[in-house]
Order: sequence, then C-alpha cells, then structure tokens
Amino acid sequence: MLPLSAGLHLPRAGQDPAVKARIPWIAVLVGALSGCARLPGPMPLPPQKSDGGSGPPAHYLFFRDREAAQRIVAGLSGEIIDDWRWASRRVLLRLAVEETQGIFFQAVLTVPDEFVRAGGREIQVRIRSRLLGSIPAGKPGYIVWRQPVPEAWLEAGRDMEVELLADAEWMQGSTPRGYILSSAGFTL
Amino acid sequence: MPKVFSVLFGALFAVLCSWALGRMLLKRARLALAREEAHVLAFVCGAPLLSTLVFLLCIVRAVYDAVFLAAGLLILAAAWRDGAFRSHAAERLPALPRLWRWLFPLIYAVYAAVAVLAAMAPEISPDGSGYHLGFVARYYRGHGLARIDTNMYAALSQGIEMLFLWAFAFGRHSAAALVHCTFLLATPLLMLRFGQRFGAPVAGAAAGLFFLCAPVVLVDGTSAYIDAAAACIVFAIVYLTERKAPPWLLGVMGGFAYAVKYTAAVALLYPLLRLAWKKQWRALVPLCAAAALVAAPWPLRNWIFYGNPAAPLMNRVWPNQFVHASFEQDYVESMRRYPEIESWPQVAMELTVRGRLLAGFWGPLFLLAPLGLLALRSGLGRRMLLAAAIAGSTYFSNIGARFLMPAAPFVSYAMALALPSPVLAVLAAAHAVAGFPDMPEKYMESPGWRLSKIPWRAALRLEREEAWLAEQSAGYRAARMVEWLTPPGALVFSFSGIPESYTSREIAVCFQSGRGERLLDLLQVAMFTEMRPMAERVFRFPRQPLTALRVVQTNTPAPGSDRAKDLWSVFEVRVSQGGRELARDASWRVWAEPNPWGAGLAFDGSPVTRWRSWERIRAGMFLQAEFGGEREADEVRLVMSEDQHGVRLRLEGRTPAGWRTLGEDPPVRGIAFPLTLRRLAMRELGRGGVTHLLVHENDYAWADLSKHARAWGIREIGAVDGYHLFQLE
Repeated sequence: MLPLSAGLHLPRAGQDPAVKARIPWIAVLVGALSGCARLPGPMPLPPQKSDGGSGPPAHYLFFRDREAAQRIVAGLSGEIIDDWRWASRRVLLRLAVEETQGIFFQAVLTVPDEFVRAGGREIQVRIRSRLLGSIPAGKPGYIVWRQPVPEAWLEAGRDMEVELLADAEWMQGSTPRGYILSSAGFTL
Repeated sequence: MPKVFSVLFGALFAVLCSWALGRMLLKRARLALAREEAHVLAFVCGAPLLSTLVFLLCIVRAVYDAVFLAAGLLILAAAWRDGAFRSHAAERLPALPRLWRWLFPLIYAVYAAVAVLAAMAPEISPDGSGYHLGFVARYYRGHGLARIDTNMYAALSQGIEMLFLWAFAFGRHSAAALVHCTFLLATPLLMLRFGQRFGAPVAGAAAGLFFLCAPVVLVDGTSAYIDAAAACIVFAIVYLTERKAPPWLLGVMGGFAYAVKYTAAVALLYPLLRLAWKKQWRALVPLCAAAALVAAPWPLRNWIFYGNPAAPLMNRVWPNQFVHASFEQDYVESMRRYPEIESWPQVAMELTVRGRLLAGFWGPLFLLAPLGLLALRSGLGRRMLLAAAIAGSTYFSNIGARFLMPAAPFVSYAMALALPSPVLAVLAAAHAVAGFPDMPEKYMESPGWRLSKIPWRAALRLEREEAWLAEQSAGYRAARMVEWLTPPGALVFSFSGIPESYTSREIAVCFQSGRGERLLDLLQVAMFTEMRPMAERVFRFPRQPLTALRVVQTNTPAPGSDRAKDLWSVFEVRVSQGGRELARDASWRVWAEPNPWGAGLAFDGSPVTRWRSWERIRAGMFLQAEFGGEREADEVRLVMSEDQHGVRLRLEGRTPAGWRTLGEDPPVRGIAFPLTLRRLAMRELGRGGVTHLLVHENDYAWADLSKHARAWGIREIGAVDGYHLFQLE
C-alpha cells in the first residue's frame, strides 16, 4: 500500500489556497458520501429476555463446576481436577429436562489404562432404571458418547435418576477409581 | 378464450404505448430513419419512457387499471396528434438478396409463432413466476412500489418489470411474458435492419437468425425474464450510436440499459468510446446527463428503501441490513463458479452442445464463434467485436448461458461477417432446425433449460390453466396451498423458492435477504450442534472501574484458507464483578462494527439470538457496550458457538485514560444450553413476523422439523407435492 503522500509534495492541511477555496464543496461531498451509508450509532439495550432460565442448568452437568454437586447423588469425587472428576463404578445423577422431544443423552469421559487393565469393558447408562445403552470402554482414551433418548422415558419438569454403571473398578492407593468424567447429561 | 384476449390486449397495449412514445421521441431526435427500421426502433426507444412513467405512477401509488388505461389512451392520442401514426420515411433500406428474402421471413415467422405461443402459455419459468412477476403482482396489489425486505432481487433495477406491470394489469402473467417476447422478436429485426443499413444485409439476416434460434434465447425470451430485453436495448444503443443519434438519446437508452439490468449498463461504454474516439467531448455531457436521469430512479429507490444505492451489491461500501456482505461474498463467488464446472473448455462445451450445467445452451452453431475474430478484417466487424467485448465483459460475474445474451447479437454478427455468404444460409437453416423445440433431445443427452415443446393448447387456454400449471410448475400447487391455508398478511418462511407470483402472501426464502438469513440463523442455532450457544470464553482481569468494554476480533485469515469464510458471532456478553453479573440498565448503549443493527442481540438475554458480523472475519471488528458511567468489573463472559474457529479476540476496557487491553484470546470451554432451544428459536421467528413455515421434503431442515414438530412449537396444516405447510403455535 502506498503511503498517504505517495511521494508527492502535499501542502499541510488547510494551507493550500486551492483547498481552502473548495472547502464548502468538499464539505458537501463528504456530507453527501457519509450520508449514503446510514449506519446507526450506539443503541439502547433491547428488551431483556429470560429465555435461558436462571441458575445452573439441571439437564447437563459440567463437573468442573462446583454447583454440579447439587445434582450428583453418588459416585463422583468431590475433588475437581482441571475440568473433570474421578468417577467410581456407579455414578448416580439427578437431572431434569424442560423438553422431552428430540433429546440425546451425552457423556464426555476419558478411560484410563488402569480401568481397562482392571477388566473394564463398558459403562451402562440407565435412565429411570431403563437401559439406554452401553458406552464401550474397552480401550483407553477420550470418548464423547451420544444416544437418543426415547421421548416416553422423559418427563418434563421432574427430577430423574441417571445411572452410569461401569463393569470394573481399580484402586488408587486406598481410593476406588473408575474413569474420568468431564460432563454428562441431556442435550440436543 | 376471453383470457387469451386479455393477455393479448395487455401485451399489445404496452407495446403500442411504448411504440407511440418512441415515435414521438424519435421525431424529436430528428433522426432520419427508413420505414423498416423506424417502427422497431420506436418500440425500443419508447420503452424507457413508458417504464419511467409507470415508475412515477408507482411512486404516487396510482397503479390501477383505470389509470393505466387512461394514461395509455392519452399517450396514443398525443402520438396521434404528433403524427406518429403517419409514415414520414421516404427512405428504403437496400433489399435482401433473393434467397434471404424468403429464408429470413420464413424462419423468423415460424420462430415468432412459436415464441408468441410459448409466451402466451401460463408462466412457469423459475425467476419469471418467482420474483420478476412476484414483485409485479405485489406492486399491482399494493398500487405502487413497496419496500420488500425479504427478497434481495427486489432491489435490482426493474425497468422491464415496469412494462410488465402495465401489461399485467390487463392480462396478468402471460401478458408480461409477451412484452418480453416482443423485445426478443424485435432484436433480430434490428439486427437485420442494421445489416441493411451498413452494407451487410446477408450478415444481418443470418446474425438475426443465429440469435433468434438459439435454444436459450427462445426459452428466456418467451418467459417473464429480462435478458432478451437487455440484449435488445444494448443492440439498439450500438445501432443508434452508429446511426449518429443525438447524445441525449444514447444517454436515455444507456440509462435504460441500467434500469433493465445492472450489467447491461456497460453498453453505455460503446457510445462513450465512439464519441471519445472522435473527440466529441461536449457530446458526453448530454449523454451522461440523460443516462443519469433515466437510471436515477433505481439507485434512489434503493438508497431510500434499503440504505444502499447499489443494492443488492456493494454491501461493504454501503452496509445495510437488507443484504449481508457475507452473503454477497458467497453469492458472487458461486455465480462465477457453477457446480461441476472446472475449466473454460468445459464452459464452451456446456454453452454450445451440453447445456445441463449452465442452465441452457446456444446450440452447436456457436462452436464457430471463435471464427468471428476473422471479422476484424472489416470496419463493421471490428465495431461488432468491440460491442461484443463490452457487452460480454460482465459475463464472468455469472457464467450462466443466458448471461451471454447481451453480447450474443454482436458475436452472431461477427460470425456472420467472418463466414462466407453462401454458407450462412445453410448454417442459419441448420441452426433453426437444431434449435427447434424437441429437436435438441434427438442429438443431446440431457439438454438443459429450453423450450421442449410448443404449448399451444395452454397458450390458447384450451387446457385449464390451473391443471397445466400444476403439471408444469414444481411449486405452483404449494403457492396455491399457501394462498388457501394462510390468512392475508401471513409471512411464510421457506427454505426454497416457489412461484411467488401465484400467491399474495409474502414468502421469505431463507437465503434471499438479510432478514431471511437472520431468521434462518435462529433455526440453525437450534438445529446444528456447532451453531449452538455451547462455547464460552471468559476474560478475567484485575477489578477496575470502566466506562465501556469492547471485544475486538484480531484475526484476518489468509484468503482461501480454511477459516477465511468464518463469521464472528456472540450470543451474550456478560459483565461481572466479584462473581455477580452487572445488571444491564437503561443507561447502557451497545454498538458493533460491522452490523451495528444487531449489537443488541448480544445483550438481550436470549440463548438463540446472536450478534453476527455477517461479514467474513477481519481484524478490527468489534462489539461494544457503554455503561453510561463507571462500573466496577473483573470478568467478561462471551457465550459463543463453535462455528468460528478462526476468531481471535481481545478485550479492551475504557477508563478515563482511554482504551486499554484487558485480556487476549482466552481458552474456549463448553457450556450447557437450554433444551428448549427449538421452541425458543420458533418464538423468535414469530417475533420476527413469521407466521408459517413452508418446508419441502428435500430441504435439509425437513427431517428435524417434521420429527420434532412439537418441540419446535409448530403444527402441520397442509401438504402438497412434497411441500409441507406448518403454522407457528
């Protein structure tokens, strides 16, 4: 890109008589051109909506959040490491949904070597005691597991028990461990 | 049968009034014209006047049958008084050689009959029955121009649509198509007369037939499109330039070329160059002034209605809500590169002998087009090639076959001038046979858009119009369903276009306007994972008093890179202090660049509405909140989607000392979003004025919308031909 002067000798602003003589015209031109683009300035806030609800969500839990403890019934460590917690053989969560159609259950977890060595192969997911499916956990690694939930299994506005049942457990010192759980719950 | 009469009356009334105005105009131009050329030129030159008159009637909301009738009768009476109906021309153009004296009229007459019948049939062309006549019908119902913010094509210049409106008032769709057909039929006549006038009568006759008998010309020119009219006007400009018409007349026609089709305005270059070549500098003033005067209504309308005189283009120069710059960027690119087209030789083959990928074809004859360069040997040939280059210069902005129509008369001329005369008759006859309806099927595998048969029964209304339309037009019955099942004033959001001219309800096709894109965004946010509000970026900084905050986008991806097409968006900006969100109050002001109109969507508390840049990301874009005073803050959370990996952010805060950086590009982490996203999206759609959804089973949204209708809050109220009409609950 050329510098503004582009190597030309330019008079300082407003000192050239030719420029001075044309100032009214330049003003009209600038006014006309800027008038063409009708951009608004800063605007007041629009009406506020509360569509997102208030408080922590009851349908999906990120275990990095301390508030998630309100919906953890059993099986998850109280200690938060980065953005996850240790899950034991049986995790029990209490979740609620506002919508029942087109809903998926999702769990984001990491299977450690130790779980596989302890004979771990799968983690069953049960919603209100009904088996939704099994998360294959026979190989170590990061897993995002999603499964559609039958509409009839869900009831809007009521707490539901969701159970994650692993088929193995291992000991870290004297503490029983299963796998690493980052988030779980209902989603779209 | 009465319908046939109303169709013919509507079209003839428009053509007659245009001709009468043209006769009066040409008289004042003091141009000595032979009888053969005077009448055709009168129709073409009168069109700008009639079009401008209709535009003015639209402005004063006087679009009524009676007003048109009275105005037309006044025009005819004035023309009568002016002597327009008397022939003054004593001059005759040189006669054609004997062979051409019967060959040209024969082929022309056959094709003219086919063209008139095709145009008289109920309108089924996609754009004609969709938007060209959709707008005309809307202006007619509303008795004047209307701001249509649901369709970007409404911002194109509508010089020919104004003539359509005149005819539509009396004969509806087919009358409008017949007006266009008149331009189609006028063009070969002009080409013939031009040849006779400039000493190349055989080339003129052959070139005229080359143009007329091309399959894409026949189908386009018999539909309520505008390309044949643009070709005719462009040729007339060259004709009048070579006839040394007064500059103001050239300006009128040049301005009208813009009014007909933006890209046709390049035709004005021809007289400009010719006058400049002859150093007739003073002539440029009346030429440009007249052109500006005739063209001016359209940019003026656009500036008033849409905030952009060049709408729907140049949206970065004149930013507006009507068409997003991002759409324009994508659209312009897609028009330059049609799907499956990979090379220019392939384009040449598609244009001449295939036709499937470029929506029509010109016929095998045009494989000889490169021979037209041999016309450089003659002065007339050089002028034709210059005109072809000028008129064809815009082709690269849209490589569809019909976009060559303004250049085609000149290319035809160059070919006819270059080839030996004895061959021309054979070529013209072969081209006429090869291009005749139902012939291409015999030598082509799957010919593209063309007139495949002569719909004479439908044209004469010997077949029921509704039944024929239902059979021939894919969305006709859907348009009628919309008409029957929705109340007046309904706004129907659709994922694909239907023949809008057959319903009085407003159809907002999701990609055809900024408003449509914003409505679509609501649905897509609820429908697609990567577009949902599930990513959060948290800026944390030392607590401090601030009067304003702004988030700046700092990345400009390299053109062509993976992220070059990313748009930046923010669902919510939440400012906190000590873990508590600052209450938004009336003293707050929000702003953004680009898309300042949408800034509020990032501050409205809704998880489905988002501010979007609607322009590909570039460094310097910002979203800003002013607090109306000092506020203590130590954290800013941005709720965003994951469909913007190229975005890099910096947070800036305004203190009494000025703007300072508070943080750079924090990591992204997941957050939960409401399960009621679908219903919330539909509620916002309702707030946006939408009352119904029209979804086809081939639309990508069909599966989710039909399967989860209750979750969306919609109810199906009708279905036909794969289209489903839903009502918002």
